[in-house]
Amino acid sequence: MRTKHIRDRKISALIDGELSIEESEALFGHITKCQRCKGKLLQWQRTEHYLKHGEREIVPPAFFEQKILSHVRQDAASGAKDAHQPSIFGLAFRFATAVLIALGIFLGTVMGAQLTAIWINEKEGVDLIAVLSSQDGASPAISEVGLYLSGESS
Amino acid sequence: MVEKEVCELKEQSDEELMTGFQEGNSVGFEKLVARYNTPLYRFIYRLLKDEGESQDLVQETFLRVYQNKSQYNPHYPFRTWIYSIASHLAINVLNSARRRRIISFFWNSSSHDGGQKAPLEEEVQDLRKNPEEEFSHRQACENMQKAMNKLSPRQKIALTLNKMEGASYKEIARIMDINLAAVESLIFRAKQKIHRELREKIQK
Repeated sequence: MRTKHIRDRKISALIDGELSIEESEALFGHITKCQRCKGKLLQWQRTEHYLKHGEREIVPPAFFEQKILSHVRQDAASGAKDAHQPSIFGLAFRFATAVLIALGIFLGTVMGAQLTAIWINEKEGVDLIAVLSSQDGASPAISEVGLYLSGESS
Repeated sequence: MVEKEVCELKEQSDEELMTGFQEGNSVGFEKLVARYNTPLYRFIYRLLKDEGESQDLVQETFLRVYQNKSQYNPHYPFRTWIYSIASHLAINVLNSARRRRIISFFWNSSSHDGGQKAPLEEEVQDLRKNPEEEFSHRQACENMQKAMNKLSPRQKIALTLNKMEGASYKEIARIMDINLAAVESLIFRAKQKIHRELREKIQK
């Protein structure tokens, strides 16, 4: 009769302590008798060891707690301020976006150019990249226009 | 004085502190920052391997807690909620292609320059009885780190929560908003990949 060996998934769950007591006992009963499964268990335990202890102690930088609190307070305070006053940069950004879109439409209509890419990243400040290129890619008039705006987000 | 503060921290549960904060007591928030800044930094650093970005993400996590305090339901553990916020932020970072390129750059350079950035553990005494064993232990740790970097962001988060942060499958299911079977599968596949990588390296 062929011996039924324990599958890797079961051994992994056994090490994680995610099996019932009855199931764990049954598996240990088999492992004590089966060299192949015992070897497998030892290999998995080794992997487990490196997973748990493979890194040295990670410690946050000095005064990290204070840094977090001041960051949160600062953000909360500026958030409250922004709620009352519209940001100048925010308005300038909106204006620049509107001009750019209008320019793209104009070029698209008049010169056959096409707006190929706009990327706005609001999280890390305001980055706006627009590339305008001609449809045939060979027009010497406007082959590529790049615009880049950067600053603190409002 | 310090002892008094420690006693106070022990007195109130996370959930009580958060409820107090919801009611306007900002001391509750400060105490939660004191409790969670180190574990969260450790957790995020293990995923991103970048000090600056890890600090930013921890700050962002606490900012979200601060801003979304009304969304917290005190019937659920605070730990699960805050790790859920941190995991979602980390997954966004890990998912971006730019991030992957930077990680691979840092890992490749750190493994060549003596591993300044890769925190390889050197304290497991029983596996380092002689220089040869020490070398093989270091190699295994390095291989493990490389294998970790090959995992998908979700596998990495599930495995880090389970192995390094000691979260149960049930807790991970809540944090990642997936079912228990999915957690089991994520963790097993992650471990299997690492297990295979380590075995292949040993056989070479």
